Amino acid sequence: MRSTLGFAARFLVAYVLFVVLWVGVLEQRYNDALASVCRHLLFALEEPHLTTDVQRHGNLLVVSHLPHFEQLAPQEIVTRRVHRNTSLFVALTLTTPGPGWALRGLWLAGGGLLLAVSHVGHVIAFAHQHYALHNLGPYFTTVPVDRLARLGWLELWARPAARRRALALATANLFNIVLQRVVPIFLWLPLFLGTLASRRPHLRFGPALGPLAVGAVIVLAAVLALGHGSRAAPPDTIEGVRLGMGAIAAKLVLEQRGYEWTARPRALGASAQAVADLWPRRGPLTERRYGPRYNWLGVRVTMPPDAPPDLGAACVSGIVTAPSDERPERLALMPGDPLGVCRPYWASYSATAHTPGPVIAPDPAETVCRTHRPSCQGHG
Amino acid sequence: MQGTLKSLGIFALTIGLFSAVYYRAETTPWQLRVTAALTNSASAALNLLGHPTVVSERPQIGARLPSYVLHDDRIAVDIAIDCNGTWAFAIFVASVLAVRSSWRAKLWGVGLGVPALWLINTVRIVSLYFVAIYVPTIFEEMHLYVWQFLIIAAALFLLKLWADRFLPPANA
Repeated sequence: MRSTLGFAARFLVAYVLFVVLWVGVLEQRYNDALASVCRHLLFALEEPHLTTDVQRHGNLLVVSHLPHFEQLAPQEIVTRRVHRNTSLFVALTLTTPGPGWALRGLWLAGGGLLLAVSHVGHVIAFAHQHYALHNLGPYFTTVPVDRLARLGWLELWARPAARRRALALATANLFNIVLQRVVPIFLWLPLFLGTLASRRPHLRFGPALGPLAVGAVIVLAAVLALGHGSRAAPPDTIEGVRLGMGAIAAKLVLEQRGYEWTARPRALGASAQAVADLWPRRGPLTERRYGPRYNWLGVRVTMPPDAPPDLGAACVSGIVTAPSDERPERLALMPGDPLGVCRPYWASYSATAHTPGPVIAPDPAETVCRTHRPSCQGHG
Repeated sequence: MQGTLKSLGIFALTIGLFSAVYYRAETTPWQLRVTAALTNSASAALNLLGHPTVVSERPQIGARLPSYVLHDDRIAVDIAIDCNGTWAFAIFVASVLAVRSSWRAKLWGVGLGVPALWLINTVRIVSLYFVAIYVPTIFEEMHLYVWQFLIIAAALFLLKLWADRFLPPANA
């Protein structure tokens, strides 16, 4: 009883001292390093790139996304709620009765590194939870979040995007609810079990302990090396993804609004143009990873019957017809709000201008005469 | 070393099972009952201390499950499912099961430790109630940064106490 009370008293003192040290001195430097590692890791691992930067702002980590996610504000992660487990681990390791100081030091180094790895995982899991919640990038699916939990394993297996989305959400929950509480205990428990060695000889640490700690150091060194070895995404990749993501973001808006969309013609034109710009960039890697997902990009814009034909079809089933740089501007000239109704992503969505507007003069360079009206005969 | 790895495996397995139940709890009422019981315990303790309080169920916007509110005419403390302290119970039970000992010792550990943790958790809620009344500016810090891990540390102190009592030195 007395030894436990002594342990509790020493623990409280060590806990308070380390919390003060952490908040006053270590936290901001640690967050700087964490932001750097996470930034490099996200650049190295994400395909396509969704994250543009991870920075520390005060006590927060701010994850910035590609600029075309206009509806997605930078994500703020309150790291202190997770990193408080460092204080618990350090105080427990320093004050557990029994081990020598050399062993405590080794434990602090190895366990601290593993804890740091869990913090990196936590930030990455949170960033991708954000994307999964907003149905972006590789997590794009028509399955709403509240239905994901009810999907069976077979259904999830058959729908890769839904599986990725469910996995991203579950991983973030795992970090947030379970790991941040359990990891420090899990790392400390062998030390505590070692103190019972005099009572239970089979619990005595063997020579494998050294390699275990060395292994932990090597794992973190590998992670750090991976972070420093990677480079930021080249600008043209970012630009290509930005354009594609613009189209996906438009689709996301449709999903969030129950597949009904009212938008100005300029938005329709911009979306169609983004599709046209994206299509030639679809390489084998993108196709292998996201092939069926881009099928929704079949866009059919149905215009009033008297609209110039070159403003009609933008992109149908991957075939871009009559791309025109000035299409968005010319579409913007049309009055009225087209109402778009989006069907599931394997179908296309159509947009129809309900309000007939005045006839807009056709672009003479692109107009193809499709009637037998006398006014057309001269273009023949 | 093998014994340590086995113990860690048992710990991880127990926590994994608890987590699975915890996630499934969103569709079952037992977490609600535990939370209601904890809130009622804290309310009873406050009543004994001369602070009459009542417990009400409050639906949460955006959540399927309600939370329980401990309140009087001055203040209300919301006890959500995730803040009811059950993780300390899980960590304690998993740790006791992970230490190699007789089943009799484990049963004693769980049988005595869980009520003790319940008492400590009640103290946590009562203290947070007083913090909310008298020093509301530090309520968030006390709740998120102090008590959430002190309750887990309390579970580990109980583990140490149990080990001292039920795992005597081999040469004793």
